[in-house]
Amino acid sequence: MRRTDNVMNDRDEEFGEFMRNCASLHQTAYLLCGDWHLAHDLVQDTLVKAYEHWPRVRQADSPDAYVRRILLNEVRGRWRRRERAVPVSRFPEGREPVAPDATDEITRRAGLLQALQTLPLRQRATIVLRYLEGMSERETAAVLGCSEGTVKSQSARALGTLRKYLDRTESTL
Amino acid sequence: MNSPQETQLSHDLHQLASGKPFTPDLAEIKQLARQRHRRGLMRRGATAAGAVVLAAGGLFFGVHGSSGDHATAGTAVGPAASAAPSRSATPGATVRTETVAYVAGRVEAALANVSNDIIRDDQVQTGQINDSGTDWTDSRTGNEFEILTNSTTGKSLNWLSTSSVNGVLTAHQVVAEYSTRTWYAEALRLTAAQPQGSSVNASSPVMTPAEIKTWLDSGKLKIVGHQSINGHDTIILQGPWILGYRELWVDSQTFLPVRIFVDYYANQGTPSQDLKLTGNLTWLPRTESLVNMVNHVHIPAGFTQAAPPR
Repeated sequence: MRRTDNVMNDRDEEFGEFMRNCASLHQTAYLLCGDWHLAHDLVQDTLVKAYEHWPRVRQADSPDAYVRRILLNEVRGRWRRRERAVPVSRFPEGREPVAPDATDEITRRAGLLQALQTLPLRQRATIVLRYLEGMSERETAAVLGCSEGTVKSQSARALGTLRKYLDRTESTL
Repeated sequence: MNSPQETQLSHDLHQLASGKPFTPDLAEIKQLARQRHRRGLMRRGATAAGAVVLAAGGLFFGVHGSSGDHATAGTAVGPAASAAPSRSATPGATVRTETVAYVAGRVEAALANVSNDIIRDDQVQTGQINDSGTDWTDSRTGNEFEILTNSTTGKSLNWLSTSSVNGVLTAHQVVAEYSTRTWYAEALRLTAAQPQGSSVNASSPVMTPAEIKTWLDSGKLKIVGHQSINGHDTIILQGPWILGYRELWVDSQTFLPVRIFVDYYANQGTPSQDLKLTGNLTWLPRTESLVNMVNHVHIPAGFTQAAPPR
């Protein structure tokens, strides 16, 4: 077997292992865009880029953070190309989603998802990284490319907005 | 928001995002990576098409005499500036006074003498697609032959010819890949026809010669400095290109272009938008062997034909 074949096999093996451990990437993408199909496309594009740059990705301080940064750029790119699955205009001012039954968990969570989509991307990403991925403020700052202070402020604003929406559902939040 | 509320939020987010298993397929990821690589090739083909335009008609500067007000050597900018600190300073030289119009005229005259040459372009591309290669372009026919080494797909041979019909630029490509010992041929439309007089689509990854002309007509070329390549002083001209900029380095003695540098997404600041191409140009006499190599496809022995990747 030629040397290049060995190199490629090693790379595929490593990357395959990395892929198997990144199920949460799909969940993160879904909460960022609000659509499973779009999330699938976003994660696929992200993994293609991660594969292309794998030698660089694997040497990063945190390959997970590096790949999530790629994902955020993909989401941002789609947003700029107006490929948002859930346009903000779907929820004009004064017509925020209201759950008809406060005891209905599914409806309440659907309201949360809708409310999440109305947040600016950075605030949304802050919420998802912190409360879905369980990242610390420092880790979140590394992914977003900002300071920990910015993460705190973005998080506070996002939570304030979410509470405004979710209080109408009389949720426990 | 206190801690129990944050715990509830975390719980809800996990509930929302659960229940949709995702199992990415490595083979599919690799296939998509190959397709992205091919799009990169097309982008490079369009860049080479621009080089042919330069060689054949002196278009680059012939249309641009009105830019003389961008006069003297300015502050060095861009990656080349950081690569060599001597970019804007020629030791012992007095203040440079070339104008874009003056340089354009000299380059146009120089290109008229090499319009039949074979242009050798040693390219290195970094960013989204990391590869290197040597490309030969027949300035008379516009055909290209390239030996490419890509970090993902390995070595390949590529023959590329482009034709423009009613403003639609089509690339005919033959690729022989050493990793699979296969070859394939395909025709790819690079860009749709542009209405007469339409402006350059600044976000398009490829540009037709007509779009290049429009770009040059924009009057935004400027001299950004000087730098030495292999002991030869060069003058660096820069203009907008897609979302970044493009530079043409010309020998200050012969006024032949010796380097093309393209930063496709300058100042975008994201790891996914980082693509830079440096091509060092050599102008070669039109020998029979070079003409044959560029204009005729020679599939290596033992390679079998395959369908183009989709």
